[in-house]
Amino acid sequence: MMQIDYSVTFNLDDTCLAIGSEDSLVYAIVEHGIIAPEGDSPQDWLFDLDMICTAKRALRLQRELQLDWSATAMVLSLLEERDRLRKDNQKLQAQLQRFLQD
Amino acid sequence: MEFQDYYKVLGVAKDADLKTIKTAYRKLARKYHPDVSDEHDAEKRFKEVAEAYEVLSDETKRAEYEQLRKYGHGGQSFEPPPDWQSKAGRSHGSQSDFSDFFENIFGKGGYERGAADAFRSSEDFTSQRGRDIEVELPLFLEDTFSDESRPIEYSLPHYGPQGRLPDIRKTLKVKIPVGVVDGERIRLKGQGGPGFGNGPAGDLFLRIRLIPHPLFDIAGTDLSIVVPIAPWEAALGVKLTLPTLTGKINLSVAANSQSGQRLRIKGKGLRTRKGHGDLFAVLKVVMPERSPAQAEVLWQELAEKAQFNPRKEWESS
Repeated sequence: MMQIDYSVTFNLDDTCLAIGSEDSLVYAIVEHGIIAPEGDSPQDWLFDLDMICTAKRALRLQRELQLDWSATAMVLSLLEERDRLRKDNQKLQAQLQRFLQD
Repeated sequence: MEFQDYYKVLGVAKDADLKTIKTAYRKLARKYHPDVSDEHDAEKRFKEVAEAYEVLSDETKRAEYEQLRKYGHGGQSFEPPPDWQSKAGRSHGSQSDFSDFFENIFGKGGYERGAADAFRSSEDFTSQRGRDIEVELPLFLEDTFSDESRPIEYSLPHYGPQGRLPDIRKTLKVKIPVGVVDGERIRLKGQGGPGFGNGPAGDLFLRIRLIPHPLFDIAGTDLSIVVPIAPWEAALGVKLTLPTLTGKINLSVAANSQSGQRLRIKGKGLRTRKGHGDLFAVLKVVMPERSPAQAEVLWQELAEKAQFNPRKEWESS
């Protein structure tokens, strides 16, 4: 049976391996505020699973939509906002339906 | 295999220049990129668009494609001439799964090529990390309280010496950690696609999706439930039995409660890593569809004696 370790964190090398990229791309992603690892300097950086997933998404968008990093950061933050609003809207609609139902 | 009409995919004319092709690609890529798009077939469409762009944006590939267009048309079955050999090859870093048509014309991509090389010669290893795989894991709210492990079934890409083979099904037993929330990802290291050469296997990501519940709505780690009450229960107060995810509890509704009022029941929400969220009971005053004649008389009496105008605020305006 697979056990899942929740406290899993990734240092810079693990992160490069997990996202399949060189460290220069991780620097760019961090510099543009797309993810914010814990730790002051790159050798102390610690990334969590959410950051890994966001970094992978950023790399896909940057490469496949031919965006620069500033645009990638903006797209990601707008997508995040869109997903949050959609979720909120769905939740409120569901609650409203329960309230308006017979 | 089917002939791919790349001009049609990008919606450009046969004599379109590179600038037009780039613009068309960018527009369609924004529309169908799986990270952005809501279209149901976004991933499939994006791959088609990326493949068309890879060919039409490269002078050599486009010239070769033009040669082949003499032998085939979009949607029709197509075989390249027997002595066909591409000079173009595949772009470095291109990782998409392109169509059989593309791979037959321009050769296999990195994954397949890596696999073939690795099998062919132990001295000529092309190490490459396996692909990450993401699988949605639907969970009932009740399941988030269970410590039982559950089987997860998913498809894994499979490669032989000649390239990609049909996917294989794999089953893992996974214990879902306490406190998972909707949309959260869980990573199972090394359980994704196989690596090539000395490359490690990719990872498996399980994305949690909490299935909507007939009674409870979710807000983070809190739950809410609508509690229907009669008008006289709202007026006089009532003790009632309230369902929760883990069993029934008693709830006291105070006298003079309002419709829409929220009562917080601490610790009866979803499990979190540190404890439990809360349950909110939202009161909803419900009128009986019909009242017996005797009750009608009482309502009438109440109307006269209650001296209550619910629209008082309107009077000042």
